[in-house]
Formats: sequence, C-alpha cells, structure tokens
Amino acid sequence: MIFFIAVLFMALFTFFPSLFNIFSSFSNQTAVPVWNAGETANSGFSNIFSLFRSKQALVKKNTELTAKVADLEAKLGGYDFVIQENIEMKARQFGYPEKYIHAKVISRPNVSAYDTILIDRGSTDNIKKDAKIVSGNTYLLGVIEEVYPHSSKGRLFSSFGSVNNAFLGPENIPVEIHGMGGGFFSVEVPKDVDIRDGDAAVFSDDPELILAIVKKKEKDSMESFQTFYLQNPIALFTVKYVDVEKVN
Amino acid sequence: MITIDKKNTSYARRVLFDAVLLFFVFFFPWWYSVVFIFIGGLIFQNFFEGLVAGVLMDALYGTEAVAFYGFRLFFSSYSLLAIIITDFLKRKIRFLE
Repeated sequence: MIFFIAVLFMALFTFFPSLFNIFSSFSNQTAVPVWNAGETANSGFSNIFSLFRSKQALVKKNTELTAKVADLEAKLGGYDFVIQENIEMKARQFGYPEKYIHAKVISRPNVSAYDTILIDRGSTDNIKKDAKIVSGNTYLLGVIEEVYPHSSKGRLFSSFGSVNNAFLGPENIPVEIHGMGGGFFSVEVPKDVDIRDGDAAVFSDDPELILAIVKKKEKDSMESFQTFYLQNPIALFTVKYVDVEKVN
Repeated sequence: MITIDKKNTSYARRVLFDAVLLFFVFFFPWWYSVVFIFIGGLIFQNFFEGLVAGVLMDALYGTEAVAFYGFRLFFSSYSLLAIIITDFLKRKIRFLE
C-alpha cells in the first residue's frame, strides 16, 4: 500500500513538475537556516580543533608553508598579482562593483550529485534566473536555475551532459565544451590544432570569463580528432563565496 | 530498578538513525546518504524515511535542467528501489531477518 502511494507521488511529481517545484521551493526555504547553522557550526568547530593542534605539528606546518611561500614568490617574480588582488579586495570591502552580487555558498557540488550550488541570496536580493555565477570576476561557474526568496540554486556548467560554446586556446578556436561533473570538462578539436596544458577555454557569450583550463590530453589515437580534458580552476568542493551577475 | 523496553529502544535507535541520515542529506557528500539509505533498509522494517530522504535530495539539489525527459526524481527512485531490494534480501537471507 505504502509502495503504491510512493509510486503515485513520484508519478504526480513527474507529470506535474509545478507540484514538485512548489515542494522544492518549500524544502529550500526550510533548509536555508539549517545550512546556515551548519556553516556557523563548521567554522566554530574548526576554531576549537585548532586549539588542540600540537606545537610540533604547527612547527612542521610552518616549515612547509615557508618553503611553499618561497617557491611561490620565486614563481611570481613580481607583485602584479598581489596588487590586482588587493584592488579587488578593496573594491569588495568598500563598494563592490555594480556588475555582481556577492553571495555565500551554503551547499556545494560534493553534497549534491547534480553538480548544483546553493547560495544565500534570492529574489529579495534581486537574483534572477539565468544570471551567471562567477568567482573572482574571472572564472565562470554556472547559471542560476531556480530562485527562492532567500536562496537560489545554480547549475554548474560542468554538470554532466551540459554542453556550452567556448573559445579554446590562444587562437580562440570555437568549440563545444562538454560537462563531465565535479568541475571537469571535455572537448574535441581537430588533430592539427595545437593546444597545450594550461590553455584557457573562455565562454563564447562573454570572452572575459574563463570556463576551464586544459589539464590533460587523451592519448594519441588514429582518429582525426583529439580529446582534451579541462578543469575549472576554482575548487568547487570548498568554494565559500561566489558572485552572481546582476540581470535587469 | 531500571527496565529497558525493547520496543522503545528499537524506536529510539530508528529515530537516531533517521536524524543521522537527515544530517548526511544536508551536510555530507551524496554517496553517504545513498549508502545509509541502503543500510537503513537492511536494518529496519519498511524504511520509508529513506524514501523521504531521497525525495528531499531531489528537491534540494536537483533542477529541471538536469531532468531526463522531464524525469528528475533520481534519488527518490533509488530509495524506492533500495527499499524493495533490501526487503527482498531480508526475506531471502536468514541472518538479515
């Protein structure tokens, strides 16, 4: 009997998507305080555990980090990046550019199998459907799919089955970039095109935004196309803040 | 003298299990919930809380854009299947009864 009711509800939700959307909206509105409490508790626990770390572990960590800093400084060879970051942080602190709305991420893709991201801004903050989700004004993550009063759900471009148009490499070759889930993409280009590791794929609608970076090439085959695997440079499983495009 | 009511203990255990499952749905990677729903199905009779967890996962994280020909209840379907399969296993395997 209960199985029958369950199947009936699932059929109702499938054939009348608006019913499911109402349920989804209600669930999200109810869940936002839970997620927020979880975020607060998580940061609180991190602080408590930091008190119990041994001195030796801290010294070891310090040595590692010092070495890492020296390595990074050598790699940078200048402070342009730091200056740029400083300008961006000041802009964020004292008046964020009008183009984006800053939002806190309350649920990330590893919790969701659908490669979706949930943010703490909704229709009351003027978030609109199809607005782009970016990180650091540079990296494009996805688009807003569903907007609730105090939260929104965004779909990442890397979600499985998602296909987008992009320009790849220094020659801006137009390609179709396929989402593979978890921030990964794949792309096929003709074999004679020269693409290297670290080349960027930019979004065709807004070439200022980087979609992914080339990480790996599939082993050479006899086919006339070569496949490249790309990754979004943002650590999606730990991302804390994103910016959402203002749409009028 | 303290007496332990077996029925109440079992009930309390089930409520605790449900609370942990709900916690997993909200804060842990999805595969934790998937495994826990199956385990719940093996431990408890008519584990319909698993189905509720599945529907909740679809409602909280799914979108219309990732629907398969309009169907978007992937975790709900998994939960229903898990409950049916575990129910079948429990009837066939003696130590799970």
